[in-house]
Amino acid sequence: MRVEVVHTPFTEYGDVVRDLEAKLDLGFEPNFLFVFLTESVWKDHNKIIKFLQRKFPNAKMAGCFVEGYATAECAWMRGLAMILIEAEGVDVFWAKGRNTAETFRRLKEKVGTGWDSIILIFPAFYFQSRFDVLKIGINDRIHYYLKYKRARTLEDKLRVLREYSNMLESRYIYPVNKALRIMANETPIIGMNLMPLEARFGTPVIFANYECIGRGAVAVCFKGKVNTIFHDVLPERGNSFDETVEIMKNYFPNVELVDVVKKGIAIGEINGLRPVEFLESKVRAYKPIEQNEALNRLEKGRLQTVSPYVLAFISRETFGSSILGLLPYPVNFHPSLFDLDIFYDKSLFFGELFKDGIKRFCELFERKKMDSSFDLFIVDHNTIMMFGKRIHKITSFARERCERFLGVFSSYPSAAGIPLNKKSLTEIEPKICFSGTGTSAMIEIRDLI
Amino acid sequence: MLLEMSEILEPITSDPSVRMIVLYRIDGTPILAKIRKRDLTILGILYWLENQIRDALYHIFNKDLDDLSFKFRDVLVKMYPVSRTLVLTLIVDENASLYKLEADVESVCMKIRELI
Repeated sequence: MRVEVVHTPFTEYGDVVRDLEAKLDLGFEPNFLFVFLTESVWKDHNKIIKFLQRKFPNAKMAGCFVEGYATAECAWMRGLAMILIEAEGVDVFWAKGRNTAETFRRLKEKVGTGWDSIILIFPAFYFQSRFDVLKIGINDRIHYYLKYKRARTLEDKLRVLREYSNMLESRYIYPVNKALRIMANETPIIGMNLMPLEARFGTPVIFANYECIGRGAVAVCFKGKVNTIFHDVLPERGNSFDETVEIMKNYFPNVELVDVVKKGIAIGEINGLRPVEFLESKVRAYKPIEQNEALNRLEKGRLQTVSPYVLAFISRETFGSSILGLLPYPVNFHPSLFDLDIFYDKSLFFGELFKDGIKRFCELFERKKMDSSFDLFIVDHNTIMMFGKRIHKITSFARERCERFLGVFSSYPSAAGIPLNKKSLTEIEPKICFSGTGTSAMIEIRDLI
Repeated sequence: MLLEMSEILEPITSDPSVRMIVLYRIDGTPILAKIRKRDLTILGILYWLENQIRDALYHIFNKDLDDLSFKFRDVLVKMYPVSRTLVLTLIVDENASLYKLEADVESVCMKIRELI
């Protein structure tokens, strides 16, 4: 097996190609490319992918947009990085469908069995087009919210939320835990549930074999001597709802227990208020964004998708918890990136703060098992906003523990079937971990056969 | 060495939100300047910088500051100490993604530190 990491911090097409041409003289012929592009090459990404296809026409390829990457040299939030592999035990599959179930069932069939680790790439929220996003707003206001307001009983409200949730799932959101539930088998899976820090129309972009697949899912499968690790920076969960609440109250500041009306992936009310009203009542600075403003920000790639104010839902199945950032979106129902049906109706509202800061993220590397391996790790991109230039500490820690590596700063990774070393708070269903912040994952590759 | 420093700074210079990069010596002498495109509006800022740079550098080094930042209408001036004798100054648009830019600037500073 031969593995090489090539990166370029340049952003203009000519500079990128010139830099890559100089670096792509590898001395071997890769049969697989794993490409991570940053937002800075957005305008030329199609040309860059075509260039790579011309350069390696016989190689299989998977790729997506991330916020940044870390190599042995340094970390960059610009340009692109890629892993080039010459080995048998690596393959890529992709599938699309009308909804979560169809997409991931198809993908599972294509992937089959016998793999030792899978990286699953899919858009958690897909911002298709101006028209499509406009449609959410119109549907939300005219169709669903009027029905919701007229509903007399809780059951009626939940029925409207279910309809709204189904609409979201069919066009925009792949609920992360639902996707992993479908894909899960004995193979460890790392989920790259993409959600850009700043969204634009057409994002997130995912590639399979040099094609942009739109709203679909890609599985990069590895077979051989590999080890998959999942880590979260949060404390361990409790054995009951009350215990987990107590643990979280001790860990996060100013935690408040709230009542949530929710169904599927839609939140209708928080403490009897619309989610945007609730957020405004708690944080005066968070005024709801106007629809036109949201559309303009999406046009420019500037619609922020992260928030320090969150709801933490507690799972009925494991008493684990998953965090959802609350944003002043111009919609009456707040969308969720994970299926809320398995969670209690009481949840916790607080402003995020991680104890011990960035050091906790570095614990991922302490769980490494293999020497002389190539390591690909994924770190929650919220670290960029939370820690700024201090994210270089993650890179320097990686340099101490890993011989060869590529790290990517992308959406908070999820996991299915990965052995855990603690009663992970983010384990929201048996063997399924997801949280809207604080997670990281790694795949150690010693040999692919 | 200046040529190598110039190459290290190249990725940042190509950022559309960065108008100018200047590497200052501790005595306020600019040893390297890279401009993205001809822009007369930053002349005023450069003139201001020329008068203030010694004071700014004094504060960075004597108060051990991580960085220093000034805002002028639609541009930001950010100063980052590279070493005990060098300061990297960026003139950027106010709507730049600063959290990402700062991570990249740190990469550049690390590379320059290795070089010197």
